[in-house]
Amino acid sequence: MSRPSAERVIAWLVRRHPRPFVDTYGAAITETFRHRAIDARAGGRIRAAFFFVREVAGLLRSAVVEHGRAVPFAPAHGLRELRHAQRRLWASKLFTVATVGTLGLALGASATVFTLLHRIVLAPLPYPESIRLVDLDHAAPGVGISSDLGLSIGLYQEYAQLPSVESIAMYYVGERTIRTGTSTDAANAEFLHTTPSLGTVLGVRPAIGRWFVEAEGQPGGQKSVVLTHGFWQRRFGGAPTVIGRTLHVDGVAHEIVGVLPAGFAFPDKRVEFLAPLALPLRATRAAGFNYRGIARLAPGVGVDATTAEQNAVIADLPRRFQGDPEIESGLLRSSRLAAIPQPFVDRVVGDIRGTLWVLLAATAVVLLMAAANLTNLFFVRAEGRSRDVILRRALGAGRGSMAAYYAAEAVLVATLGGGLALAMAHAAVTLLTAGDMIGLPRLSEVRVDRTVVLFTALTATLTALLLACAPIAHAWLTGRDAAHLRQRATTGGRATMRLRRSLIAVQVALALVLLASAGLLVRSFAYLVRADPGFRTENRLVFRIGLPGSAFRDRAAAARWHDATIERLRPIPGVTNVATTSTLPLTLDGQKDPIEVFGRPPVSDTLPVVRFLRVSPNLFETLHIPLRRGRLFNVAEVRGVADGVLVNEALVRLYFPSEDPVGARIRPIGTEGDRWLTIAGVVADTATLRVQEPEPVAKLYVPLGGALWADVPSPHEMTYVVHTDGAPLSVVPQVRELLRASNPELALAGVERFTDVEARSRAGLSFAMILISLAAIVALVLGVVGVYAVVTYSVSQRRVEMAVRLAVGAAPHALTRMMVAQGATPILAGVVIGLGVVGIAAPSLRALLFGVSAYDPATCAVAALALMLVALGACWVPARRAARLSPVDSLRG
Amino acid sequence: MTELTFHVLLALGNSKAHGYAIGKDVQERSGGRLDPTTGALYQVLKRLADEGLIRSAAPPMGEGVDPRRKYFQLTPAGREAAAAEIERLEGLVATGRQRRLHRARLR
Repeated sequence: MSRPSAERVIAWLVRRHPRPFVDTYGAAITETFRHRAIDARAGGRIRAAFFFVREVAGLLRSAVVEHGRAVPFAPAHGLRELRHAQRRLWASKLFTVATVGTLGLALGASATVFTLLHRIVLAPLPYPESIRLVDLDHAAPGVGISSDLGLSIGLYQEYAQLPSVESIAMYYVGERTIRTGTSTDAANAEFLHTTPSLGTVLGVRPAIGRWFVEAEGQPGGQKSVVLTHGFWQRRFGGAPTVIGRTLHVDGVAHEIVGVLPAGFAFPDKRVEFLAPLALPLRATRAAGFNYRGIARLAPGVGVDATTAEQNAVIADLPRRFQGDPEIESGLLRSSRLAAIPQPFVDRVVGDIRGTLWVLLAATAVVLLMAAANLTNLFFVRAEGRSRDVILRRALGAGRGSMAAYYAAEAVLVATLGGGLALAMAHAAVTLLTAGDMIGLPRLSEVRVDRTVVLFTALTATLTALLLACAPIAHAWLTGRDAAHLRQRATTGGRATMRLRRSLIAVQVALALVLLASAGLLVRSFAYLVRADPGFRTENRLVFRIGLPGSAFRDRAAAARWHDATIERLRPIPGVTNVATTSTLPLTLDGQKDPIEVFGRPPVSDTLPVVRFLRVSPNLFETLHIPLRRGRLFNVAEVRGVADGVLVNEALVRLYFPSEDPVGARIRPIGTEGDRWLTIAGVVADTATLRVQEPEPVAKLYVPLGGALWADVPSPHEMTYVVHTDGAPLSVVPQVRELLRASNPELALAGVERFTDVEARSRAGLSFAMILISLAAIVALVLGVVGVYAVVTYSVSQRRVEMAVRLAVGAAPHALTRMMVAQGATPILAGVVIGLGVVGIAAPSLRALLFGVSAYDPATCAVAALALMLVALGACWVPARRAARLSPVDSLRG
Repeated sequence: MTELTFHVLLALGNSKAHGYAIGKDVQERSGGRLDPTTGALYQVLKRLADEGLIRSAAPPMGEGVDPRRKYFQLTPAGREAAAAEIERLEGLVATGRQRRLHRARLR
């Protein structure tokens, strides 16, 4: 270190002393240091470095001491007691490791979950004044849609005029085939199609280049793209010369105009590039809810105000969109369309909010148990120091001095435990964010920050206070009585023992809450694992192919291409069957609308919604979806000559509850003209988005090349299901090669095993179940250790009494029974309290459960019984051991 | 009285001195055994000043004036305290010799 730097450090340390000290001695200290440093340098660099370190340590120490002297009423023995406590803890290494380790683990678990909760749920989004951002969503309860309907172009243009809206943008996430240079590197990439106004709404600016201009959002505007930081690094090596280069999107050249800053992830991190969404100047219809919307509210405007304004627009739609067929037919009115905007952070965070709060509660329970356990241990330690304490008090030590004596160890244990907890939390967070194992939102923002450090320091401080209270309470209960020194301990202090038995009851109650919760989650998971999604996933490969509209102008051409591709893939060695569908189960919701039935009006105002899927004829065979009634597609329907369709049992229950649906004519609601689809057969229900759905969803299946006139999914983007003999991924290279040979502009997307897709759909529940089960196991261990420690101590205190009983003829098993019975009282009390708490806390778990009630009596009974048996076992072991001791040895002590 | 405190009083026994000189004096007289850091040294000086055993002094005549240097000198109470400590130590040495605890020296 250079001379000026060293003197600056010393000067800074001097200024850390109390003001009067600095005024009197500050300059002299600096001057003395300079001369001493010259002497030290004369002895070489190593001596100079050693000298500097000593000087810094010396000034740090003197600053602490001088500040301690300067604080009025500061405990005179504070620092000294800490030094003595440090020596005592070092002398009892087992106690220190056990207490610091237990506290560190419990605090670390709380700190980790708090980090997730704070950064994901509580922290504002990384945009300026993000509290003003709202997600523009709609509901249509008349057609069974309670949320997630999205936004239409018509409503977007109307809402842009509202006084409550400062700026508004519309977007959707899609997938396109991209190519940067030669045709050999075609790949699929997720992209965000957005109005140029998104930059204004989010307040984000590219790190390089520019954002879109308004003209690029008009029909016929320049084709440009903005890249995300990660995509720019991966595909262009982070070259700053990327601006002006070309990116081919579905074969169409787009100019790269900007690169976004690192960390930008809207709406999530899957998006790789952004393109401007060109809208018509004036929409002619109100519906067409195919987009998502986000708005920045005007300053001072709340969500309620904008909700009222938006719903006023909806009520006025008939006047604003005259001639709109969906309004004139009454469909929009009967759907009871309503605006339901919500803070954008709620949309981002989603369901994980509830799970994280439950997890924080679980870790808080474990922390309470750890604190109760440690309090017991500190009691035992205080008992061992009874004589020392009474002597100190007899020699005149005051209350403050005694409090410092007790508190010093608690402060040190809590400080070390807190440090260990922060290290654990940092490691856990690093592991979670690196692996992205559980798909949490905003994961890139998760880190241990100042708030987490404060939270950990606060919980460690509260724990230290609790731990310090134990021996202080013990000292108060013991009193100044010098006769206690002579007294042979028989009951160990009745008041102390009552307090410790209460702690046992509390620990047992808390352990029961966690055990019962874990039991309910494990049962839910068992149901989930056994739950039949209605189709087979093993030995099936899935991938998506999207056909560019520029190359495949009409639906018939796209359907023929997919037909031909299926035939090309069939002969691959190892392939048993190949099918395709517009929506793969467990991935997307898909297109949905009500249907109308030929010859009858809707039976009620509520029109149930049906999902439409376009599928190759052998999909049902490939996924083992059984046929229930009628027949599968025939040749005419596959070729598009006839308009036969298949429906599932859920649709039959909704629309044909008491008649045979085969032969009935149906079509999507709002279809014009005289064309109808005929139901040819009924297939079994299948899961749609998650395996654990409460009710199967109604579905209508259209053949790949059929019903091209109907408002059902286009065959341009299809997901393939390839059933293989062996490992599904083994056929991927041949599939890629065949596709490249057929059309080098195309690429496979989302290539994976169908079993992996299924596992992901169960992942959310697994995460909560695993963590709460771990917490329950830790709680059980802590509870058992606590019970064992108290009973062991109690037995040791009653050694003389037991020896006398044995000597006069009591049977060892009778003594054991007596000790166990006495230990059972707080355990039973804890079980009763715990069951009461479970009853109160049960509703908070409901969202996580599947197939089992939150009040399931069998689970609670098993948890209570298991806990009682284990806890009573922890009583029995030390009691039995004590009853077998020789009475003579016990009396000798 | 700690050993360092006593050595500081000894260093000021003959004349006034500043912090650097006191520290050097302590180190040389103790044969390098006592080498207080600057912070520890000034803690002792402050405590002795607070107890009235030493006080600030003007620089000696003839020395170049560095305004940052702070000179100290013994007060009468300081001389008394040093003398009392010397007597105590002499008494201990005498007791040690009486009980033949001293090292035998070859003449």
